[in-house]
Amino acid sequence: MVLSDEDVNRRKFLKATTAGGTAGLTALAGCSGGDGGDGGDGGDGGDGNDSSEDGSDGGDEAGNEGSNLPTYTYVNNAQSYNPPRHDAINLIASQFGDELGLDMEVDVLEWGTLFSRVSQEYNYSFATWHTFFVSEPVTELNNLFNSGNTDPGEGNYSGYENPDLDELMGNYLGEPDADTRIDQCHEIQQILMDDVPTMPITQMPQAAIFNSNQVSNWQADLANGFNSYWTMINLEMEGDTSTLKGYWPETLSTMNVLGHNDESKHVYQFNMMYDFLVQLNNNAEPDPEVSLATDWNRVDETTMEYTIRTDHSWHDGEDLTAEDVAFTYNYINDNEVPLYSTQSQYIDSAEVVDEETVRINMAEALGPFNLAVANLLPIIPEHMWADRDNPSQANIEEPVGSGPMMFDYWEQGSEFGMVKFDDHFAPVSFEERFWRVIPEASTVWENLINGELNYEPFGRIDRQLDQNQDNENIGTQFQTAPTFWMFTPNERQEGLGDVQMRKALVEAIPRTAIVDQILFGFPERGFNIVSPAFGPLHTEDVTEYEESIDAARSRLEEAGYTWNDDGAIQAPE
Amino acid sequence: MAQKEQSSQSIFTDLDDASTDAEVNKWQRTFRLWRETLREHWGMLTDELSVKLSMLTVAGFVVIAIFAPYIATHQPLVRQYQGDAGVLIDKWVEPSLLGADSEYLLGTTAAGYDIFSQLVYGTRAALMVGIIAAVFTAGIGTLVGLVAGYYGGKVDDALMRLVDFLYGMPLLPTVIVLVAVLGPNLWNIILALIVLQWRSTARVIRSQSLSLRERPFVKAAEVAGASDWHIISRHLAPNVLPMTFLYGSFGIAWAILAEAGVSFIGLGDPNTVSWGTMLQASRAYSALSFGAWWWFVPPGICIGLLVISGFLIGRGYEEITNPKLQ
Amino acid sequence: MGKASFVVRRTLQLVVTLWAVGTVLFGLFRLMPGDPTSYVISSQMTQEARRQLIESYGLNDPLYIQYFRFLENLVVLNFGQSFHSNQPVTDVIATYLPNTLVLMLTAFVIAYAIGITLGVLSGWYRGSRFERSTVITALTARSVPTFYVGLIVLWIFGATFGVIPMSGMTSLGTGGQSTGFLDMVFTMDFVRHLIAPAAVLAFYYMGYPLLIMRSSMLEVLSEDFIDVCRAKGLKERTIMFKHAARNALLPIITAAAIALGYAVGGSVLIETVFAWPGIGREMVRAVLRRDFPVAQGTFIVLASTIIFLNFLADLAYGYLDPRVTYD
Repeated sequence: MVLSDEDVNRRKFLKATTAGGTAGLTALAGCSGGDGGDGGDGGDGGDGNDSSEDGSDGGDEAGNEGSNLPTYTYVNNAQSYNPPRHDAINLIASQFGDELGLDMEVDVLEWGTLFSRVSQEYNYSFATWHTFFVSEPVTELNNLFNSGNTDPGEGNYSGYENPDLDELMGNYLGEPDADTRIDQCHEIQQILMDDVPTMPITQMPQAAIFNSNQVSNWQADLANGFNSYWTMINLEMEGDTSTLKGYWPETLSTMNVLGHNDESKHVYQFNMMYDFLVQLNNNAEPDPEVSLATDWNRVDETTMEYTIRTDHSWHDGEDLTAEDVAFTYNYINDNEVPLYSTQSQYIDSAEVVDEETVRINMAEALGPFNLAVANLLPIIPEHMWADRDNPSQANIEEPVGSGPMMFDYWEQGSEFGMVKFDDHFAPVSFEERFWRVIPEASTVWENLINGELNYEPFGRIDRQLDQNQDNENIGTQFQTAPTFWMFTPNERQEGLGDVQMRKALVEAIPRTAIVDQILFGFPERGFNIVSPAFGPLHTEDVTEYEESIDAARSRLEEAGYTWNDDGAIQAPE
Repeated sequence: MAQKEQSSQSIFTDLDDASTDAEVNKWQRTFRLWRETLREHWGMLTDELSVKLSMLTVAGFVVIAIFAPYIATHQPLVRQYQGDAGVLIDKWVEPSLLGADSEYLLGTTAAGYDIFSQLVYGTRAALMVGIIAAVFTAGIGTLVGLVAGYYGGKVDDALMRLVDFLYGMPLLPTVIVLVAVLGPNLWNIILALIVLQWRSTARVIRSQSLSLRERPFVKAAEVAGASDWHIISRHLAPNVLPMTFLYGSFGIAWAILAEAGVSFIGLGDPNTVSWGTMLQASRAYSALSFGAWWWFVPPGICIGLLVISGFLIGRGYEEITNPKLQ
Repeated sequence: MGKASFVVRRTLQLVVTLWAVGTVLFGLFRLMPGDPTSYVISSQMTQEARRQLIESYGLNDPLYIQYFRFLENLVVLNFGQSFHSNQPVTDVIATYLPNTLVLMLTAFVIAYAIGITLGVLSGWYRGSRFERSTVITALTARSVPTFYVGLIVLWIFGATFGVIPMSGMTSLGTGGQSTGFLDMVFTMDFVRHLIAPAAVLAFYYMGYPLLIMRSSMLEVLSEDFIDVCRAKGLKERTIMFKHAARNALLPIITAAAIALGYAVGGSVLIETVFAWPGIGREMVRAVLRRDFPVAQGTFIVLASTIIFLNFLADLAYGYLDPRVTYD
């Protein structure tokens, strides 16, 4: 049988590439923000136009020749890096090309390259990735959409500009009253969903996947899901199991709590090894019962005072004092630790008031200080760090913290282990926790079922999960997360600044197919940039978009777009 | 055997310059010389059964590659859709060869591509990588070896230090780095392979031409005032040809293996279906643990068949050229 | 030319080759697209902070300064600090290299023991069915990619029958129990994990010594002294192993040294399949993350293993074979 073009009936799109992907999945944090970056250092980033044509023949390329809009580049991660997302992006791109008549090209890039091309160089047309966990939505939105952040590398990679929104977000961040903030946040998300600079494609769930014979009582918190501090201190072990056994597809990089790259694999460890002034419960509220600070109050708009536990100690036996807390804040601030530069900009100084009180002076007023700063800075021991003058590049072999888990061993490339810190005020119920490096999803599942592992911290959504979730040894629990797969058009490119075009693109994204066919029905269809997981901050009352090619095409027609005989789209002159 | 005896002289001697009409075009004679040498080698090769079978296998794959669009039932990189809804993806369909009720001989992949068609089109990638890489590695290697061996001295020294340097580079890691720099597409993989792999041919051909240079017929040509190029192309080259072929056919095998390896790591060309990228995809989606062996077994068998054919042909050739092994 | 000057010249060549490999690497990694700091930085980082970070890695200095610093450090085996983990690269190498070496050496010992024996036998019984099938097996072993054999072995013995562990060097949760590397190597648990990858590699590598051994046996057997032995009435087996095989061993030794070098260099695939925490896999990871110092350091280790073993093979050849002249 010869394949005719009719059989094929799908336009080929070019895929250009600059570098491949890693073998195995990597959980990558640092996906959504991207404040930083000297665009020039991104190298030539490979505009990737060494594109080779699809190796097979028989495709009809002619279809899109006639469009008066430029060729659009959808950047995609390598298949091995994240198979379903790779798949979804190809699917969306083919919809845009086949159904809307855009001239599409898909660039397969290695993750680091992709991230810097989008967030630093702004050299892309469409991008999709899994946004990063945040506990405070507007801090992040302000990074992403503030008109002041549009220069290369400053964070506003979508190129969206709206002075009204800037003002609104500024007000929100300076607003001490929580109820007022809720109203402001509703208005912010309504504006954003009306202008769609970014569209959530799928609302990803947080997933607890575990061996139910060995461990139970999984309670998620907002920012870190089922890997949070709150989850860990509430877990209950079953039978005679005393070890929490997890895995990660990749080895950890470092034991330096101030020098890691914010990937979740690191965050999840340091969250247990260190204490934070304020810890959150499963309702995203600060909970003094389980925090290092037993009380706090806002002295004025720019000053906070925290009461510190006086009976706590470091893992090496030294006392943990208010001095340590003040030292931490000043040290991170003075050394301009890059990892915490966003938090540092709100800190002016910290001082010890008395042996149980620390006062923190802000550099500028920040309403949600507990959520955006106090919950994120790890408290480090002065006696270990005072002499280190380049903290972010220190090579640390045995970290000393004060959290509920203590460092035990780290065999690079294979296993990392921690043991319970018995003197902690919020103790865990297991004696040890280890993470094994296992790149293969299939191996993970075998181990989960037979109990060699008892939980799946990575939260991989794939066919393994779909097939095994009803296994008698497996327990699962799902909960809406604040994160989603996003779709972002680059408004700097010709044609994408048009809001009707963006809305049409959103309508052409086969969200249901992606949820059902690619992600086995686990996530929800995305519809709002501020997830329902944020509780009262979220509102249902935003513009919703149909999922329909017809709707998209008639919207475009109304806006004056036409199609030529080859089906290529023509923008109105 | 008499005939063989006679013609085999043509490798080791030149056609008699004096007896030929001076008017005969030089190129024609060169051509004739090459043609005879080739024909004779071909005749010897096809004597051996294993070589014959290997040649048939390779020929079979060549036919599949050429007629891929007629053999394949679907486009290899076009997602298989089902129904009018538009975007239902036909994933993980079981093969109809095993009696499943589907239109896909070997089922579909996790992304909804037809496995059988991928396998068929993969032949193209494999042969392309194998043949292009082999032609260039054997060609460059022979040229460098001849030049180094013939001129000797500084030229030889410089070229051989370059070869030594290349011998210091581990194959797969170097290809990985080069591909990461140049970008993962099939041409860059081929280029990276060529850059490294001519080293062995060059070394062997050099030592052959070193000894050939001292042979009487070369000396005679030198005395007769033949140009360097004339001596290299007419007197040396035909005599090292067996080695070139030998390394060429090994080259095909190595190139295919290397491409499969690089693709398997995830640095393969995302726009081309190759057996290596098929294996990589099947691994990325854990086909292994779902027992979808029809996805990952066939590409491996194809790689093995093609590579072993290359080795067997090379070996058969080696036995001809090195009578001690017979 | 005498032996001494041969050794000197060969050593010089070794140094030049190492320098060339280093230089090429330096150039290559700086040509890589993308920003090496994109992995180091977090999303939360401000632009200023990021610039500082780039500066602290010396990535803003002119290239030639970076180059000289690189060469200087190469000489003293200081490969710098990983961009990613801030660990000295030498530590990274010290962590991963032994794992690769244990695997490769085990595989090699098995491969050469079996390969040499089969090679001797097939050379001796030239023309027999046994010879034919061994040669075919050897060729097959070398034709199917190791990673593929590994996958199939995992599928059959790991996933289906569950007799071999699916990944890693030790069982889950056993980390921190061994006091040192050697301590770990000599546990049953480790051996259990070693068997499958070592066997797969050995299957692949045995083809080479087998074929070499067979051809050098054929050469040796055509020489006169074998007939002399026969005339003396020695037993076939004695002739086969004591006289013929011993004379055929020389090419094997040199070939083994060279092959071991390339095997270490090619370890990346098998390490990927069996999730073996070896240096090849680490190198690929570093390349993909553009962690220059680690990528350079690990690559140089792989390359110099090859270069050094080639060097040893050359020297050994010179010393062991009286026919070699040093020119």
